[in-house]
Amino acid sequence: MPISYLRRTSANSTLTYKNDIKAGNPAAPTRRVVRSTGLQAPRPGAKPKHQLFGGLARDRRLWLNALMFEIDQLACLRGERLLFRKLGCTLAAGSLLRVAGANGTGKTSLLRLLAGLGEPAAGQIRWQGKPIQTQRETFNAALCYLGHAATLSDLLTPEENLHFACLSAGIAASPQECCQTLQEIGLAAQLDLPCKVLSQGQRRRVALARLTLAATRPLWILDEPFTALDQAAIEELAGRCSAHCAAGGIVIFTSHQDVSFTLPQQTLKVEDFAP
Amino acid sequence: MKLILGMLHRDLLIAWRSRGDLLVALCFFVVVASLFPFGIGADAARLHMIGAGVIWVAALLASLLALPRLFAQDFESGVLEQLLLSPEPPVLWVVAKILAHWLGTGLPVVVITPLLGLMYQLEPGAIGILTATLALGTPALSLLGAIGAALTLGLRGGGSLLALLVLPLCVPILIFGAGAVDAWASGLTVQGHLALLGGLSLGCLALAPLACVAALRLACE
Amino acid sequence: MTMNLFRFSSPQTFYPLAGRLVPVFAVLAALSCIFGLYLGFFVAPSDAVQGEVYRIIFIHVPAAWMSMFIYVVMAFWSAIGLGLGTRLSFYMTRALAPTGALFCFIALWTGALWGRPTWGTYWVWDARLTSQLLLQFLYFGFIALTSAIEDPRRADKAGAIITLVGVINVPVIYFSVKWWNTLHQGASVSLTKAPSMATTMLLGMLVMAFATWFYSLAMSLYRVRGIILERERHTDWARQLISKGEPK
Repeated sequence: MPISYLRRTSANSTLTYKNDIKAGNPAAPTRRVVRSTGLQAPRPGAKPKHQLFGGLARDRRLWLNALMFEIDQLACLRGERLLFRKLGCTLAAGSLLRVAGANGTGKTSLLRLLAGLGEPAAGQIRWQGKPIQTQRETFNAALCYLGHAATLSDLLTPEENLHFACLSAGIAASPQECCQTLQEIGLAAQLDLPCKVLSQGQRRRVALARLTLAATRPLWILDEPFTALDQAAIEELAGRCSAHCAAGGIVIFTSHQDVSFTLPQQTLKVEDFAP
Repeated sequence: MKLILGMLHRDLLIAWRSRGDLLVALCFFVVVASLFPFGIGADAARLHMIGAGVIWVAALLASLLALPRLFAQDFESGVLEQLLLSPEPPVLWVVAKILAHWLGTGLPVVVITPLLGLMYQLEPGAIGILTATLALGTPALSLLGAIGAALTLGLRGGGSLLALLVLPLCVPILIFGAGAVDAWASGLTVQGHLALLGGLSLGCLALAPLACVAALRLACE
Repeated sequence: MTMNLFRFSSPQTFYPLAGRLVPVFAVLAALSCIFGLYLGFFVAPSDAVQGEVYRIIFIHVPAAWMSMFIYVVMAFWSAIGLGLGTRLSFYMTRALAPTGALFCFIALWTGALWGRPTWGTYWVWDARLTSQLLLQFLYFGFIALTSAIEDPRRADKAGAIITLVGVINVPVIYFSVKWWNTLHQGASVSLTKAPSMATTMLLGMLVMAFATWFYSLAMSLYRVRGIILERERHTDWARQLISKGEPK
């Protein structure tokens, strides 16, 4: 799947988007079961220009066709409180799903369940047709989950943190690649500083740098990825998510701010499934 | 394997950068062990008699003091849930983490024990045996303690609860550890003690990480 | 919300069953307790060595047995709960713990009372007493841990894990303490030293053992009913029961 609208601008290699299609319509009525609208048609003759994503097209063929993430009749108990029940949704390759809802409705709990952290009170989550609990290693190898926390050790430098994060996620990335990635996202000056001196936005960037290296992971689950980022970084991240979906991946995210993507975005309102 | 080494490297790096904390735990060990003579009098024969036991209890308390740190930082920063989402079996990195913890907290205690043994006027042979028992027994303390640390992760008043959970489980290790020195002093062979201590440590190594992983999954739910 | 949402409907069916069983076991416990104490205090002969003091074993020994047995039962339910994910097993574990801790305490207390006239001191670092004390700590640890965790399901599973760790440790603790004890104490006075036990003594002890059994069953079932109601209160049937007022 070529990514036609991606263009590498200059040496600093931030991503810009030629055709910023405003496809996501938050006002659209939500259905109980959201189905994927499929992929955007690629433009003829277009070639992937971005090195990083271009290089990944190779690996992606493995999961381009048959991705299937199903959420079936899910219920979640938080403490003594039932947050939602009978929540269902089927996501195929290329789906971009926004989980919406007011504070405390269970967005984060849902995302954690989807990532396999915790047992649902009822229902099932299936990856490629099999429940994720029965194939933890396969599922974890397909998943990139970014939670609320920045997952950084205060005493380590951004590079050490990113390298360990990749190691723990089973992503092959050398320290040099980590270094390069961090420089690309604008942390060249902070490479040797311990993470405790970084600002909130910079910490967030370090956490998100993982996505660059995790582009081979088909399923991204991102909890509030846009908080604490500046406008440029938000656009860049939105572009990265769009590109991931366009390449056949699945992105599930929560956000309180309206972000425009180049792909149609589905919305799942957790409140619709409140008991 | 890569993950084990990476985990070890990372945790030791963090331990080294916060070495002040480790030093505090070590000082605690020394202070506790050197308080006993003030409580019971500095009679040489009496010190000689209780030395091994006191040093073992102090080592147990010092290991307990360091335990909450084992998972707490990674739990708060969210690193733990990332580790649980790793495609590698979690037992691997849990063992690596406990090993790194032991290298940071258990090993210094073992290394400094001969000095405390001199303070208690133990014979060189007894000091050797005491150090050997600590070297064999403190890994088991770390492993058992890790279960407690994982179970009490993120709880209010976790520290005292941790003590209540872990200390009864550590009694056999304490008995064989301090017992070896007594046995040596009364002219008996200590091989049995050392073998039992090693066996306990190996048993803990086989079972504790499993309980630990279950408890960590629970804490991250 | 309907109950079929959840995989485990057993608490609903178990609740009325437990309700019917509680009075039965309570009556049996009371009867066997009265009969056992009568046998122990009035029928059984005085001991040749210990005189009347020995009669405390009619309470002490069954309590000690029961305290150990309940821990094993807790471990059994914990394993079932963790293995099969049945909520009722965790409820049973938590319902049993206070009874086990109570019997453990009774065993320690009566042991100390018996030790004073027999050994001349309330506390001896005897292998049995010491292991019993450590068992008490394990019970306290379980209760403290489960009540410190606010999320009830995490508390259930954490309690199950610590129970299983404990039950693997109990034999190790017992044998190490026993070994330590023989090293330090020499031979200690033991209850089994009495060469032959009069039949009535044995009978009294057995009847008392049954009393503790029935008491434990009655108490744990009574307690598990409370736990079921509390934990299932968001379900329809529990809500109906609660709104009816006096839950039966």
